[in-house]
Amino acid sequence: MVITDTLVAALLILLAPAAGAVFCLLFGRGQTPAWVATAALFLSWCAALLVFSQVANGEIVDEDLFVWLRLGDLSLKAGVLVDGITAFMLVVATTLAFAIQLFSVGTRKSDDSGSRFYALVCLTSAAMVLLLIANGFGGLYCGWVLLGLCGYFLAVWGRVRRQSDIRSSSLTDEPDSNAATGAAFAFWMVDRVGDAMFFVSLLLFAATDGTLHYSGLGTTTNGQAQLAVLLLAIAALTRMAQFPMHIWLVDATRAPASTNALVHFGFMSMAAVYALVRAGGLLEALVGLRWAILAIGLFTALFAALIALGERDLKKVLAFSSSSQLGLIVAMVGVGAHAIAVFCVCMHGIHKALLFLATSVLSTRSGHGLDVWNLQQRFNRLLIPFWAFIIGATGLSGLPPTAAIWTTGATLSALYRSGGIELWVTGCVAVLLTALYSFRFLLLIYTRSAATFRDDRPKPLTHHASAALVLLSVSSVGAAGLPLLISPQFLFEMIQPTAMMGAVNNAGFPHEAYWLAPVAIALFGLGIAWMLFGFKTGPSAKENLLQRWSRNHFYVEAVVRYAVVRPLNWVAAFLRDAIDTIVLDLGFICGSAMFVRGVGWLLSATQAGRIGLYATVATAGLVVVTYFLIAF
Amino acid sequence: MNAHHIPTLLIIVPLAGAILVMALPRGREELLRWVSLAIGLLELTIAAFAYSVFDGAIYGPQMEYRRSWIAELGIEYHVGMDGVSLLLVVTTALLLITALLASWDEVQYRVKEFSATLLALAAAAVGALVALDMAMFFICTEIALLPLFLLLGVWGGDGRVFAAVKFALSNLAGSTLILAAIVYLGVLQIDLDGPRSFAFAHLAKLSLAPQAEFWLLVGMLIGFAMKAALFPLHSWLADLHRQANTASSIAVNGIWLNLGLYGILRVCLPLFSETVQQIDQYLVLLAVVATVYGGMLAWSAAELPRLLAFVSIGQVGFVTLGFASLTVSGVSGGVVHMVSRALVMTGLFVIVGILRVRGLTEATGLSKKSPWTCGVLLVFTIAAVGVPGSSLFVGAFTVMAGALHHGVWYVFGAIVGLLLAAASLLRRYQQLAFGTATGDTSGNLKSRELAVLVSLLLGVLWIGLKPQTALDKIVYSIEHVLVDVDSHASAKQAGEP
Repeated sequence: MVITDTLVAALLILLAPAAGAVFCLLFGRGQTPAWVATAALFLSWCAALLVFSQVANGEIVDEDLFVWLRLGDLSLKAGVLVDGITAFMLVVATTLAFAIQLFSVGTRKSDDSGSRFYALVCLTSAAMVLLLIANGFGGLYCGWVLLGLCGYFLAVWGRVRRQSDIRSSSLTDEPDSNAATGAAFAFWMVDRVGDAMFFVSLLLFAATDGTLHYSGLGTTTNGQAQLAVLLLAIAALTRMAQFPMHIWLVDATRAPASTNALVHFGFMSMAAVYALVRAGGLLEALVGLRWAILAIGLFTALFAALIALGERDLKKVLAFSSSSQLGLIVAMVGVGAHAIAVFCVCMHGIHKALLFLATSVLSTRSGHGLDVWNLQQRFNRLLIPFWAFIIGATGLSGLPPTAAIWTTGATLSALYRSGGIELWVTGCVAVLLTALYSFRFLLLIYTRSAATFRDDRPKPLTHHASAALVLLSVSSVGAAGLPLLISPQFLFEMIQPTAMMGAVNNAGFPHEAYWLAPVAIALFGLGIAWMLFGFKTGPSAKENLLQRWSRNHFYVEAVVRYAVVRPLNWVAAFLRDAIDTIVLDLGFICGSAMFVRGVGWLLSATQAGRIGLYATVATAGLVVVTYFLIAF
Repeated sequence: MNAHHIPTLLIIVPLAGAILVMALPRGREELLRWVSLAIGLLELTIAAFAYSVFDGAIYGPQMEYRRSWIAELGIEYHVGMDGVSLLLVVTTALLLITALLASWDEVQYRVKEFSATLLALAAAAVGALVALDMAMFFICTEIALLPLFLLLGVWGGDGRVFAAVKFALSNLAGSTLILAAIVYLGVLQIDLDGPRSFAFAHLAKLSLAPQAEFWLLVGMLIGFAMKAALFPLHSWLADLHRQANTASSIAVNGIWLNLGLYGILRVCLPLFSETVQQIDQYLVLLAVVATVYGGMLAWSAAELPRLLAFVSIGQVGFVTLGFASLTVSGVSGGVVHMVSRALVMTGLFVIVGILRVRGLTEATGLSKKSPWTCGVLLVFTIAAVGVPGSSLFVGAFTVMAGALHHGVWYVFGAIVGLLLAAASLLRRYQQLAFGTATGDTSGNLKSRELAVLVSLLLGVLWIGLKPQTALDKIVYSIEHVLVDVDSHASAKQAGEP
């Protein structure tokens, strides 16, 4: 093992937040955890920038650290791999974590759960870094599971305890009286199912190739290896809330908006794209699976966008918008445009963070829930969140000045190149819907008729929170400027993973004027949104069929509840009451007891105490014994 | 000290301790508890010493010591340790201390008898684990049944007598089958007129008629499955955990079930290797069904102890899956899973005991009133779920890597079982932790309880993060067991044509 500066820096990115988490959990009192966590994440951020600059100069770290498990042919080593894609995502991930931490310091009231919250933020960051710098799917899986756990913990603990939050999980039928117990359970459960798929895929990879190192995989392509890739894809699509695995979305929105920005719609989707891209080479060979991924992605892009258009709760709008945006990114993986997928998902993380953090400002100040029809704000009251909303919404729709202007264009051009005009049109419809719902909530919040504005004077935002929002906005706009400063091809080449399974044909950066089309479509969507939602006073009383279905999320959660959860409960209850209690317990165990008792009762008839009977039996026995003695 | 006396010492220390505790005056409860704790610590120290001198690079048992016991029948006092018994002995010693500390507050009457019973149980269990003679193994197992029966029947809930009798009768029924098989083997040796011995190594070399071998295997399997609470012979366990106190829950779940599983590994696999290979597929199927069944029943269980019982039943099925895979990976995984599940379930039972003593088993909102208890409960729940870093993850990974040889569908089946068990545990955790806080008493941990739980957790993390250190100790022993299986099969195949 060669210890280089880059390796040390890479480990520092991991260890700083991990140490921060331990410190906050064990010694956190008062304001200390907030500052320790901020310092740890800042350190991690600086180290990530350092590593990025090293990797941009062509240095790549690929070191095994220790043997985790060796059994027969199987040899699993823990190690570090930092190449272009890792370095790029490390920078984005640590930026996000640092910004969100800064925002939390600025907005959270200090209370007793503070140390736990900050510990979790640090742990989440550490999990993400672990996932990124691991040199194989084993390490990736460790970070992956930890990330899911953090998402669950933040959803159950991090939330502001309001009465409206105490609702049952969307998938279980817990009675409402004790409904807080069901919170986030669906999220956890769906996530566990995804993890289990990943787990089996690890097993299959290990069985086919004897290792889990990225570069060692894909040496054999048999049915097992293909199944492994399929399961990995399912796990990744679950994390990216793709239909029909998107049922955890509603549960996740119960977490505070800042943690949503961090885990559920930030890191988790980034991790999923990262895993898919690392498996890219094997994926490349499976044309059928890629078409399936493409189809699921595009379908979800449209489906979730429709829900986002009809949903009234702002956080759910953002959640389904994530699902929709990630659908397009999944489609990019499907067509093999991995660099675009990575770039898009990073930008998506930043834009969603802006939107969720701005939402968090509104929600703590409005006190009226997060119904988009009830959130009227004068834009000049809180200027920075207003601009955060603008940048986030334009970022979603693919309008300047954000980096989305490149990503949306690249997405559509990749769709066109790989599948022709039909896919391009589908992508355009998704972009149109995105612009519609993005500007819907923006217009509903900021352009309502003056009479409906609340006149409460909001407290100004703290400096930390403002700094966080500015940092994220600058990242988004700055990333848009990046291709103008340096060669775009360089950026895309840099974020190609080196240790990928096989070579990947990559749809590169759009050098044609593809990006003009999405801008025009998005502006068209903005126009329609302005006509429909600008200066409205309230929702129309009658809702049409589409609105009702969209408000109910097309009843997918209900279908899952009735088709999966209920039958499971029935089967479990049947096994308990019929099989276990009656057949096994009463029938088998007590049955044998009764059998013994019955035999005893029969035999007791022979013990009647009558001397005559005993004498007869004894004589008969003697005769039989004598006969046998003589005969043999 | 010669290394070959270590196993004997491991048996004698708790046995002598039990006698010593009985000799101490009644009424000095604190003294009694401290003395038994000291004996437990001594036992753990010796076990740790054995662990350090054990050489993982040697096939077969080490620290062997044999003396004639009942010469006419060929029964010997024959002890020694291979990697599997070593790991289980260390676990047993750790669980003995855990049980003593966990019942510090809970057991308030007949403390003397209680401590002595627990120590006697440890002596018998260790005796069974280090025995290299089938008859001695059987005798020690049956002796262990008695203290367990007493622990259940004397210090337990309201229905304790029923649970204890059901436990004892079920297990005695199983033992009868094992005894019958042993007697058959003994009679067979008299007929064969060769050297008579019940040493495992000797028995494995006996050539049996296929028909006889099949029925012997079935009898032994049923017997050990009964002890291990393997589906469908598990019904005593669910009743037991509802009535048992913490110490007997730990003893049954952590020690007794593992003895049953150990019997399957030590006796059934090497002795009847040909038949085992033939009925392998059915065993795998049974194990998968057991895993899923345990998960399903855990999902439908209302009470926490019952839930834990069914989670254990699922885990026992899962360990059996590892054994039945007949691969080095699967069997090693099974052993790791056995040890880890004992540690994790013990942790959970300790917490349940803490809650029960404070009257909080049906409480809600624990996270507000006693955050540390809740946090530790969460950590153990997450460990039981089998996330990476927990030793159960290592077990799950290696067991399934073995089971994969039999088909990926078995893996999916087992995954369903594990998922259901995990979901049930977490759902119950949520019910305890969140919601409005109820219960007047605080459920906070005492430093003693925290120490116990942390030491269990360290064990879980140690195997979880550095599994190779534990695997290095057991892999050769398991290859030794499986070499028996393979060589028998190949000899059989070579002899057939």
